[in-house]
Amino acid sequence: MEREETLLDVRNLKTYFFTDDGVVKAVDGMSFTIRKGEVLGLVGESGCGKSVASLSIMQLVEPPGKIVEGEIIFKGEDLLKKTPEQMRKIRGSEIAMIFQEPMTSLNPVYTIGNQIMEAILIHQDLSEEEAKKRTIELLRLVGIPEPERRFNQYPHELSGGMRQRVMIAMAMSCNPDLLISDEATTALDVTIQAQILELMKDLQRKTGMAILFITHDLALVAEMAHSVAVAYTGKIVEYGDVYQIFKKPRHPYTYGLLSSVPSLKTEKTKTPLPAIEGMVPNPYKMPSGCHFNPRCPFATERCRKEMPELAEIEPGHLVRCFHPVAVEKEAVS
Amino acid sequence: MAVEATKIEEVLTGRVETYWYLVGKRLRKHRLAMLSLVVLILIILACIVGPYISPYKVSELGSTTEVLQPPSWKHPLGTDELGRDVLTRLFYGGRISLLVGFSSVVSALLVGIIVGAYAGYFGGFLDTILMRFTDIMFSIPVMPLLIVLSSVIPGAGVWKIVLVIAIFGWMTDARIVRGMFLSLRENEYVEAARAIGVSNNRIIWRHILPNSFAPIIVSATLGVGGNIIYEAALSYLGFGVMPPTPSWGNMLQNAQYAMAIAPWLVWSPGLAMFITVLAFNYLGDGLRDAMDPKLYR
Amino acid sequence: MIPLFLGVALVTFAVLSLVGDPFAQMAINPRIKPEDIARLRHAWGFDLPWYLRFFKWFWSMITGNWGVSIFAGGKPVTELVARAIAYTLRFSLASLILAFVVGVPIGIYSALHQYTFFDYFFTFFAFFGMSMPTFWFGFILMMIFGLKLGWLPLGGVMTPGIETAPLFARILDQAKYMVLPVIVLSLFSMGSWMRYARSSMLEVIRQDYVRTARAKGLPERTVIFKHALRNALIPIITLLGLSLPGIISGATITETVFSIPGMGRLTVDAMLSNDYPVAMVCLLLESSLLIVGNLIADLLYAVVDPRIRYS
Repeated sequence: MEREETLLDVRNLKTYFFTDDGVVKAVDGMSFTIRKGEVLGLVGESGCGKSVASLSIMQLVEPPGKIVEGEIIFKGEDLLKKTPEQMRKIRGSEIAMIFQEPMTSLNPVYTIGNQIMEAILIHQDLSEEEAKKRTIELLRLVGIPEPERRFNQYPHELSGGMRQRVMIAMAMSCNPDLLISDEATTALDVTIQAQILELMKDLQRKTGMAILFITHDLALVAEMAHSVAVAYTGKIVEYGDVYQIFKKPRHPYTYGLLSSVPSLKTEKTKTPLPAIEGMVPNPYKMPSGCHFNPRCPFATERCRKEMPELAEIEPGHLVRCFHPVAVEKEAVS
Repeated sequence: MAVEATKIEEVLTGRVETYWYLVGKRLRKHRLAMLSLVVLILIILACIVGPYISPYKVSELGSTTEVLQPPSWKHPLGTDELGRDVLTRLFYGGRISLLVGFSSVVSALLVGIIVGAYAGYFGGFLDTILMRFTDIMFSIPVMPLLIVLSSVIPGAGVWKIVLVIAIFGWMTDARIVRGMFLSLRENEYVEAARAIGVSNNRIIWRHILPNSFAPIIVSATLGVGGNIIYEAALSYLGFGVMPPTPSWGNMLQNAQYAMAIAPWLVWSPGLAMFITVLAFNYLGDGLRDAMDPKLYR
Repeated sequence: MIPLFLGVALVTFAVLSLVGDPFAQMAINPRIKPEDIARLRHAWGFDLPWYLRFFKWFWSMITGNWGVSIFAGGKPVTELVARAIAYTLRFSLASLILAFVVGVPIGIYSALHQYTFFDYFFTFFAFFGMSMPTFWFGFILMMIFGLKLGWLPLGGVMTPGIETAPLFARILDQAKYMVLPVIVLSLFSMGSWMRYARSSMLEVIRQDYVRTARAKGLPERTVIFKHALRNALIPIITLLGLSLPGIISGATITETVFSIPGMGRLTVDAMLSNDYPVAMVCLLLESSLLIVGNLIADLLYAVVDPRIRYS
């Protein structure tokens, strides 16, 4: 892949939650970069810190959560050094975000037109009428039929898929350089999910924006992303381009994740679907050494004592493991 | 629902602590609720033990020189218009007020749980009928009817007051329990129990009810305080606990007319009642916070 | 609505029937002629079986044919009720407005500044108000401001003989009589409004759409006042509808403490003195107000929540 200009560079990000029961290190030293126009898939089970990482980029982490360390370099400037006002101007215009729950992400008491226009008016110097025109354009762009009529409707009058289209229209309203999609299709039916993915891909190609695509669903990543970062307990455990991750997964966790995706082959051979043993560790009591060691079939004494570093194992392919898996896998999907 | 969420959380986080253990742990962190608990225990102890320590009998009349005496070493809270020791009466009155508070809540809960459980579990026609009735009871002006009932039902005992307060106090509990049952009956463990042929009654009492304890306990805790005030208001109006049996409410009944010359008669029963009710309210609030995992995400 | 109203009327009727025949004790009075009693008994249907009596009574209620009081010099019930409502209204309306206007903004502010001194202070204040037995609080205020300081009257609604004074003096005089009862009446509800507004706002600011509003880059002001507040007000407005009946039905306890001849007192007095016509009108009026309050709450809900409006 040709070297392009870096858009976002997250370095050693740490976001902790200071609860009554102790400190939860939701994001514990994550680093990843997104180039202009790149789609990065950030994958992991729930609780791995992928959502908190995205909220940290937007600086929308709510107390008791707090970004304690790290740099978030966006277009060459550290977002963590920005004032709240500067950050506010970036949100929604240069970085936009769509969330998992289309049903609750829109304000029930305002029309969708109102809610999209609001984002336009705040960031662009447009009159009400121009903003309305632009809103209807956007609604049309995201494939909502009869945009003039939909403009005056309330969220509850729209289906989940339509609402997610509205969210996308809202996110696209100021032509962002980076779109963060936090499990944006998870709550939708499979067919709707495919349509929304297609829409996002299409918009990405048209506008050349970068996407941070957060999901727990590896099949979606394979379809959407150029690069993939796999997160586990607040850290990136494997990082590479989509081919490297799917064809040659080196971290036992990634390997396990890929093996637990059903394919036609497993169906045919009637072999039981392999699952990763054990459970995500208690966030208050992280295991010592590599956090994955209690679930890892290859764990050794060293894994129980030391946390491995994220190391480059081949060009552009990083793994946080002492004993990387060496088997090639068949690509999923 | 509350319990379910916690169980899932336990499984996910590998925690073996039970729900009630967690509730206790959270409650201990709620300083005002803990303080309230201590205060309540002290008040209850005082009301139980106090009368045995006091040198005076509850309705022992003082000599004419001891009528309406301000607080002194002999009578720490003074004496009333009949020369009775106010502190001693305060202990006895506390017994009555707390007894009324607790028993009326328990009786109202019994009715509320039965109505709410059957309405929520079976739904349909039974639900419509029971909830209609609840609506009707809600739409009746409580205070006048409380007064009529207490003047109509024969007897002057404490249990009459309990009954009267409970008759108009079960509706909120019924709605809460019904709400819990409506959502819990859809759960898989209920489906499973039904599938293996567990009787409806057993499902209601053994499987669903224990899971709806949290809001019931909160409502009951807040209810005790509220009902203590109800009793006091009724007694103040002359329809509650009848003298010579003292209650915090009827001790205040005559105080209004003596307030110009004997303000101590106003202060002590009212303050005792206020502190008790405040403690119940704080405890209830602490319990609500401790039992609602939503707040502790 | 209609079945609910009928049901409430029936229960009210049943409870009052428990008190017994209101005309029985009249028979003891030698000055009342037996024919008159018979006439009254007939007028109120006491010579009929209970279900017919109920419908006779119910019919006269809904046609506004409320009759005259047995006592109170045989005054028309409408007149008695109208006067009582007029008194109740001035106290209860003032206290509702006070409690709402002070309580709701403080509750909202507390929610936005959770765990600050302000929040703790007003949480305590709210609990203080909600735990205070109203009549005792009334006594305390009377002792301090009435007896000790002599600033305010102990009870009643106006100074006797003030009726002939100029308008301004009359208003000032009656306002003085309102201060203590209004404080007592509003303390409890102010606490409830605070807690209610606080929890409603806390609930709303955790919602996804508030996060969406922030993610759009809206200023915090807009996020709170446009997106959060509007939603937090939905249950508050509904509760306001539910508390409207209380303005008219009055508060028996506070009216007793401060000797205010309002609806609460009229109802209780009528029931105790077996003034059957007055008691029945008062009770039915109050319960229908509660039902109407529910209806108003539903309507308000539909006005403020588009989800209800369209379904």
